[in-house]
Amino acid sequence: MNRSGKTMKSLTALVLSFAMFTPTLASCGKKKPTTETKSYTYTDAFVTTPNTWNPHTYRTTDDSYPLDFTYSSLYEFFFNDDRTGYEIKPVMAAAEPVDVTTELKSETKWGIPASAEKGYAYKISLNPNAKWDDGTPINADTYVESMKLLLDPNYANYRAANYYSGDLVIKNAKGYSVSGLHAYKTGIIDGDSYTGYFNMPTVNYDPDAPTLEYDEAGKAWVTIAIDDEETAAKHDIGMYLTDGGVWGDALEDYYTYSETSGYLDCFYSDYFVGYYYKDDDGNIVRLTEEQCGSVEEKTEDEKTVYYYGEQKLDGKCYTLADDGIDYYKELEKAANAKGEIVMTETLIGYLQTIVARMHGYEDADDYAAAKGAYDDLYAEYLVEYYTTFATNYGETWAAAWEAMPDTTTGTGEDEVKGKDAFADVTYKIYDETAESWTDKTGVTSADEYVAYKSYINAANYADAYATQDSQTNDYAYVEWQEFCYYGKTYDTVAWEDVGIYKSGEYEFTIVFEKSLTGFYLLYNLASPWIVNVEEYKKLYTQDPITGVWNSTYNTSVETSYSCGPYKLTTFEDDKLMVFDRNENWFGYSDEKFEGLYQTTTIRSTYVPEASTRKSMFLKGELMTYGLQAEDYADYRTSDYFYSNPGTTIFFLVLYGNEEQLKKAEAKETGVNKTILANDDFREALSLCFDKDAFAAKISPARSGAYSVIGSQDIWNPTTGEKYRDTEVAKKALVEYYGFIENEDGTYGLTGSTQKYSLDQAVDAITGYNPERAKEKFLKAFADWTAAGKYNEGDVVKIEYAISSDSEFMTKTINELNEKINSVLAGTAYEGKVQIVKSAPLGGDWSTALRTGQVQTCLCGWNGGMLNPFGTMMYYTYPDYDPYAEEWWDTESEELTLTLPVGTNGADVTLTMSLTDWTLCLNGDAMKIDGVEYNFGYEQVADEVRLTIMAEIEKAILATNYYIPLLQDGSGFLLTKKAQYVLGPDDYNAVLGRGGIMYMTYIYDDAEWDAYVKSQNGTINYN
Amino acid sequence: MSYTLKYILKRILLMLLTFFVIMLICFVLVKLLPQPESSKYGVYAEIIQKNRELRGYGKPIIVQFFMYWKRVFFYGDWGLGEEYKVGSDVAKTFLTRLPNTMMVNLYSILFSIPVGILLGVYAALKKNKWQDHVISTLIMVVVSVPSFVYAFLIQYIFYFKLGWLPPLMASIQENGRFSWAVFKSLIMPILALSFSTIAGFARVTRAELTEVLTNDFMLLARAKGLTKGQSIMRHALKNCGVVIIPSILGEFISIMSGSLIIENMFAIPGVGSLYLDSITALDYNYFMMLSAFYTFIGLAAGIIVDISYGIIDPRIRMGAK
Repeated sequence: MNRSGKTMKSLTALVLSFAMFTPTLASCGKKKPTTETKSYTYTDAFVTTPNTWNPHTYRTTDDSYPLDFTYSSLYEFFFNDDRTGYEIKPVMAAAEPVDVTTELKSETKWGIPASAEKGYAYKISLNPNAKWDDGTPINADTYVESMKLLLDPNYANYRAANYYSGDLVIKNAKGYSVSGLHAYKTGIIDGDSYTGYFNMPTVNYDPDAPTLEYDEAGKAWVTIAIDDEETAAKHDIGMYLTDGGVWGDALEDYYTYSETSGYLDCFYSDYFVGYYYKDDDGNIVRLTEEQCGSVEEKTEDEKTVYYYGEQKLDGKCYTLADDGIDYYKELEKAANAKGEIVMTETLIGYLQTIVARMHGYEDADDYAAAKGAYDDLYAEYLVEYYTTFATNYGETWAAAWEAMPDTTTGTGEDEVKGKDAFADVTYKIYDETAESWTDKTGVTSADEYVAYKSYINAANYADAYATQDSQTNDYAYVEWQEFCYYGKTYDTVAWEDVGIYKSGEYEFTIVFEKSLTGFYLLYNLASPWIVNVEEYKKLYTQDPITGVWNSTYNTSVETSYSCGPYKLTTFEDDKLMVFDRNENWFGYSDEKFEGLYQTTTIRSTYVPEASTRKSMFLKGELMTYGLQAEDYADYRTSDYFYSNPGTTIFFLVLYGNEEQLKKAEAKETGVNKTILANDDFREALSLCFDKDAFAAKISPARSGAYSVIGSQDIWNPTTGEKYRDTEVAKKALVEYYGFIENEDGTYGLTGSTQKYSLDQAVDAITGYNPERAKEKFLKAFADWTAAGKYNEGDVVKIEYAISSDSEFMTKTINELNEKINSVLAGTAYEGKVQIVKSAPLGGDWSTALRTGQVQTCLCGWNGGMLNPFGTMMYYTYPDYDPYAEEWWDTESEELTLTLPVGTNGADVTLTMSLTDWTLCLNGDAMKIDGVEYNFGYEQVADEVRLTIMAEIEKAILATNYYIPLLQDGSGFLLTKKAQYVLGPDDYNAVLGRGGIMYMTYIYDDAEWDAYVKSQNGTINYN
Repeated sequence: MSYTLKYILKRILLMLLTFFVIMLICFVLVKLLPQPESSKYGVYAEIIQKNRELRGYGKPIIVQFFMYWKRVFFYGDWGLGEEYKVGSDVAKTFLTRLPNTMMVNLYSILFSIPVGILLGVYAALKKNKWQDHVISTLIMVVVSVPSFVYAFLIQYIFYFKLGWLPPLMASIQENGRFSWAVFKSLIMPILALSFSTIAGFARVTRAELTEVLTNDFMLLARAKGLTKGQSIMRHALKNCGVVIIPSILGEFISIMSGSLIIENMFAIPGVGSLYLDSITALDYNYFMMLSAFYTFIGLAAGIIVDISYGIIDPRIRMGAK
């Protein structure tokens, strides 16, 4: 036999032997387990494997999946006796918290207000039977030491903020978590509002501002009070190449490696005149003023880079390198791992030169010589600012100014203000320009103009600068500061000053910074923070590459610890998780849990494909199946179909800033966008959709949404009462949808004689009113045409923001278009309103929407189920970045309400901005006519709070900037093997249907297997 | 240096060049996408930030490219998961997954090669008879239909309708890698993966063998007194080997590449599903490593197949004049 023949034979033999060997090996099967006790296995599926279920670091709901089974909390939700509601019972705690506010008030370190009687400090006694699954007892040390680990500033734990932001704020927890850390800007901890810009105007306009100092090592320092500091303190200065600070664009963005283009990339300033434009050949071309307009357009449309310079660049760009020193590179070299550059005298010199060259000068001296001192340049800026101001607000200021005498005469009521009177206030007014410019309240336009005019009069401001070194004030020498931040080292906070400490072997005391009582106290204490302290410390490891310390606690079976009803016994990445009963859990012998937790094992399998999950469910291998859109037709009427209403409301945001819309529409011919700023047009859009029908077609698991607060939100968490079930909420809804209250208390629609009770009116709402929608559309088009803002034949093109394309997006947009144009059918505007998809915007969709680059999107807020009052903040409180913030000024829009909040319940009429009403509703005290009002939780009668809430809701809906369309929800099938404590028609917004805790089994595992076999392996759920 | 060696070296150098060009394209495209702020990663923020710094985050893309490969070559450091399995070591996860992919593909090849060759031989021997037509038609169908289509069909028939096989790969941790439970659970993905391989081998074998069987030396072999079987085994198949054996080698190389869809469908925690998941999650580090892996496997398989021609049949030597 030759060689090839041998090879073939060998190969064949190998194949055959392997094929035979594998099954033979495998035939060494396992023995069938024999057990006398019945087993009840809950079989579940997951699609994303948890990364870590460490209670200090987990990030997502996928991560926290194991915690649902392996952790018990101090207090937990249970159904009440008749299962119509819920109650909270102590579980890891032994009893309800004992309020010790008055006892601790005398200890000044806790800072409890003298007037406080309750809500600031509690003693919590612990269940002495609680222990980890390895038998380690859980006592007060566990809670206190775990919190210490959680807040440890060196570990930067993701979940630390849960205990110093929101409702539950442990005294000094935030301070301890950043104790001794140093930072140059916001971001050191989530929710930190401190931004230590090195605010150049502060240093230079304020005569008392300190000057820059350098220490022996050349490090720059400023002594100034920033943030919440009461006295001035020394602060170093830092910058980032990736962050432009007050300047705006980051230095990194200006820096390119192109030898021909140098470093003057993308520089633009809107208050200097003159642009430099890089043409297609890379030449620097200065443009005339007329050409600048076209460059601006070109920049927006085609993202063309263009250049700015104060003097001609003679066809070449400036370089940042001299004598072998590249200034930018020097800064880059000085950056630490966080990107921070600690400013020294040398680095400041480099930055000064960079800034000078970005303006087209050789260095700071050249820049200063050419432009003169800062004062002159700033005055130049103000003149232009004025001009713009006068153009925009050129009402009566000129006459008022001219009529004003040069000097002020008289005092008090006899005072006649002269031009000189404005000099002292100019700085202040300037500082507040941003606020006063848009709302035009407080400081009038005339005042402002006069103030500026006065300010740039050298005679008026010269004194303020006389005491300062002119060199220091030269713009050219200080402009670098715009890139910098003040450094801040957070004060050291001792652990003893943090509001949690052991007060007994099985008791700890917790002190809050703000009052927390009743339901919200127990609710907030329901999240577990404890870890098996000794094991946790052992599991800290140093990352071999970066040297950063991290804990591997709760990332595998070996490192997992349970204090709940189950413990993790198998964990295989993207494959399987098994949880068996934790026999060390006290709950199995606790009467509170009698009859609960019948499940003996939870077996969760990785099943990424929905079709496989469905097959496995029908074969009895999974106990639930989350229905896909295509399944609803088959299973919606099944006895085993359960619907879970969600809390997220999806609304169509309509962009409303006419100026920005005008810019957007100018990019295309024959297109109109500004009509979105027309109230009638938006109202018409809102009336085009039958909300439930829309939901059924687009997303069958969801239902229609009729307001910005959904049907599941609970206004009274103690009783579980829902906001939408209240009379004021119903009235708000029917009024928005056009019902008018008759004298007899019934409701009717205009043009109809039919009478409805309040509930009937609510039930009659579909959201769809084509006649009124058509009427409003036609009015909007007519008004806009008359105003010259709409040309006949133009298409209203509304760009819909998508992060990535999907079938859902296509269906949604098609449905929106179909409904809108069915309303416009037969009119001259049929087909003239089009919603079109944007390019996929990824994570930038939100910014694109807020800035008007796109004009609509289906967006939503969630998380407010137990506090709808707080949800209002996402619509009316600018700090929460409402979508419509840029075009709807809720701080100026006033709302007047008459409420029984006077002495002895007397009616008082109050007027506040929508923002202030919302803040007041959420616990901020507001002073009106010298009287302080606080409409927060437990501060006033519930009816008052509900009335305010409904009025705010009406105001939001009336704008039609938010058109509610969908309420989130999901549908699933439940196995025949087990049952929930609540049937398909019942649902508890907090407990759902009781989950694993309340699940009871109709078949044990063996019986279930037999049952499935008896059904020929496939169970019918239709 | 022999021509063959020169040829091999040339091919390897070209392969490396191609590899880095592809990688550069991937890298540049990835870097043109927005990079999430590291601060969003909570406890992992510092680790991720430092890892980014090590790869020249913020520097020009070309510099980052070289720093990236420096980390790979000198430290074996492919980075950390940022969007998918946040904070996980990309290389470690990959190596954990590779055996699963190799196992299922090895089974698939060991099954499909003999079946494919036997079908091809049978079809060749029954040329233009109904058996040949049936096999050829089936081959065309299998080649034309994407593997996930019959993967669904297989799952539907063998799991849902007949209940003979489990729908997903069984747990290795619970059962052991070479257990019957795991093997049984892999039968469906093996079948799904094998169909196209079987079809490929059957088609090549049939075509080659049909041609060889018509050669004069086959007639001579029979004239010398060999039986039909002997002449086919000793002469015909040997000549077909020049084409078939390189294909087998190529298949063996590609056993590591797995199948993106099949692994996902049958929940096989292999590199294929890892690639798919990392792309879905927009995880750049996982994407880069897996792209590098797949690119390398593809290029290496091509070279090995080419070189093997010369080794199997000395008449085919490259470069000699």
